[in-house]
Amino acid sequence: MILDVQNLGVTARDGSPLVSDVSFRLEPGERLSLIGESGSGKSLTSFAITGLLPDGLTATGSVELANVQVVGAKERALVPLRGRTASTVFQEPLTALDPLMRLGAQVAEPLRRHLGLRGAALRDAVHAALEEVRLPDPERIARAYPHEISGGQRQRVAIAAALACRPQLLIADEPTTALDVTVQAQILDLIQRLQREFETAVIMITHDLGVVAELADQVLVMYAGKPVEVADSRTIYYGPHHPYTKGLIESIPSASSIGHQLRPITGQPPSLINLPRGCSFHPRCPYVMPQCRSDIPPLEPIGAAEHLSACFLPETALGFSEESERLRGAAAGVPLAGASAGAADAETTNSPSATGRASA
Amino acid sequence: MSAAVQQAAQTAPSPRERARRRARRSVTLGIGLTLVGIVVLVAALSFVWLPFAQSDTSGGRLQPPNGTHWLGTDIFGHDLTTKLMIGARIALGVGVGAVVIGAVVGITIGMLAAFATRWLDDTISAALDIIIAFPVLLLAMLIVAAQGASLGTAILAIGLAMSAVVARLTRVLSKRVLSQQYVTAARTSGTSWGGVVARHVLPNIWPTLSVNLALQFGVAVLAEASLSYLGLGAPPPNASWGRLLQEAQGTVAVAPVGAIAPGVALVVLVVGVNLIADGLRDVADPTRRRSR
Repeated sequence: MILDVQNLGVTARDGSPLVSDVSFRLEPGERLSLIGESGSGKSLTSFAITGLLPDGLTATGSVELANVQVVGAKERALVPLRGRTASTVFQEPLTALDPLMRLGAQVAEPLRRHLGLRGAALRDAVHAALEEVRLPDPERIARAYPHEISGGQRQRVAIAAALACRPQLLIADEPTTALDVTVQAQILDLIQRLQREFETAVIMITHDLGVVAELADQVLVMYAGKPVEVADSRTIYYGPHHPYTKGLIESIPSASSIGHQLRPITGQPPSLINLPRGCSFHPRCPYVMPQCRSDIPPLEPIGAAEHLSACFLPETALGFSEESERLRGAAAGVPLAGASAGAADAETTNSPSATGRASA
Repeated sequence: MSAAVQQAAQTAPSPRERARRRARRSVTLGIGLTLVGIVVLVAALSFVWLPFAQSDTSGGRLQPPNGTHWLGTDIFGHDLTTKLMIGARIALGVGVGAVVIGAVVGITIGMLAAFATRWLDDTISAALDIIIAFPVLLLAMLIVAAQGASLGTAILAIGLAMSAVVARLTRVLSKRVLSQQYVTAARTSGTSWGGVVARHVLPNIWPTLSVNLALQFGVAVLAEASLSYLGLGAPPPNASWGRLLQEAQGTVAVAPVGAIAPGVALVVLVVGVNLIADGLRDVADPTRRRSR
């Protein structure tokens, strides 16, 4: 096992929990996706894995990276792991590269430090790493500065640097968010190809469910710092249990939804400092039950053993079938089917802005 | 924007190459380098050749400029050209020495503050603000008063006084660099903090910092002249320009050249250094260049 995360939590200086109860395991070559809105704790989780939480935040629980306990470890013990055992690729390929350093030198950095390469061997390894990510003319790219190449090429360079030492774990923190759609697909293909080739385990952090479909075995959905649903990507797509996951899937625009109104999840994610009582999602949930306002639903198996969800709705209310919708409606005491209730919701939230615009 | 600039953008030269091209075009930088170059040449020449020996008083007192004594002689009969050339040595030595001390001490403290915990950072910053509130000259006078007047003390005093400004600038610039994602990226790939400072922070703050250090050079030269004028600088026979001014003060009505010559020398060096700083800023920051 390359990574074993048990009950990982991240707390702020004042003790308020920003992330809690995150548990998962990764075998070599496995792909996990962390999804959720901005501020749901995805990135903090990834920083905690390499022991690089921002100042003032502390990790609790257990993170075993290649059999090394990361939580509470000394800096000196972690430096050899970073870039060697676990590497990270970031969202903004422009800002993730030093503007005053040649790209070759930036790719060379981990090779020099971790593998001790020097001189011609180092140069060859840099060119090989750049070729690996299908960059044309590696010699020219190695001599160039970040502003001289395109966004997609920069992300390729960042990936080349991250994978240069053949890490066992790659953490990709929204690696395609800042890129064009066509380039996104290329970068995802690249990560997938390298992942297969080198048996790298991948943690993909994203809010783009299209990315999840393409690049994940396991999916962990986070909301307000907690995992709310864990399942394989197929189940997440076709049979989600948690209303938040379901809402995420329903808010993806697709070709088949042309002419239909998209169904956004209304409201905003809660402030982590002032979480609502009971289930954190209940103020935004269309199927809210009295129980949800007082008790926190535990993350428990529902149906299949590998499917966990933190919701009080009946176990059989999975996916988008009318039967499931009826079950949910019945449980929540919504008089009509969930679909029309959702539509009504959408209308009431839309109308004030529409009138506001008309009067302006 | 000129065609040359557009073409430059197309061929995408390295930042360094572009900086070089801009440097060639910068008139400010050219004039500044010429002025400072004259002073440097004179100072270099003073090591191999002087018109008269330093202690030579054969010319007689307060001679006006003539064929043998190009700038005349002072109240003791020393040749003024000779003293002025030695003064150039001292002025440059003080400038370089003070800037080196100021840079080493200032960058170290500033970097420390940038990395320090909030409490320590606040303490250092408050201390720096208090020090900066005093003029460099006043601080230098305090240190000289405690240590006794000598050229070395003057350099040390000016350098230390200047280091507060350098430290504050370094702290702000470093904090900005440290918040960049490429630092996080470097950290996740296993770079230690030392490596981050050497490979990312210093190179990225250097363009701005070097402009400031060039300006501080001018401040240091003026501060030393002021200290010497007040008798707190290099003691005789070191012919600092500030002391030449002070010596000529009493006889300015009969021998005005004695005061004018070191004054002009000071202006040439300080203006030259400031022009270099201005030019460097233009070179380092392309957005400041006006299109012609």
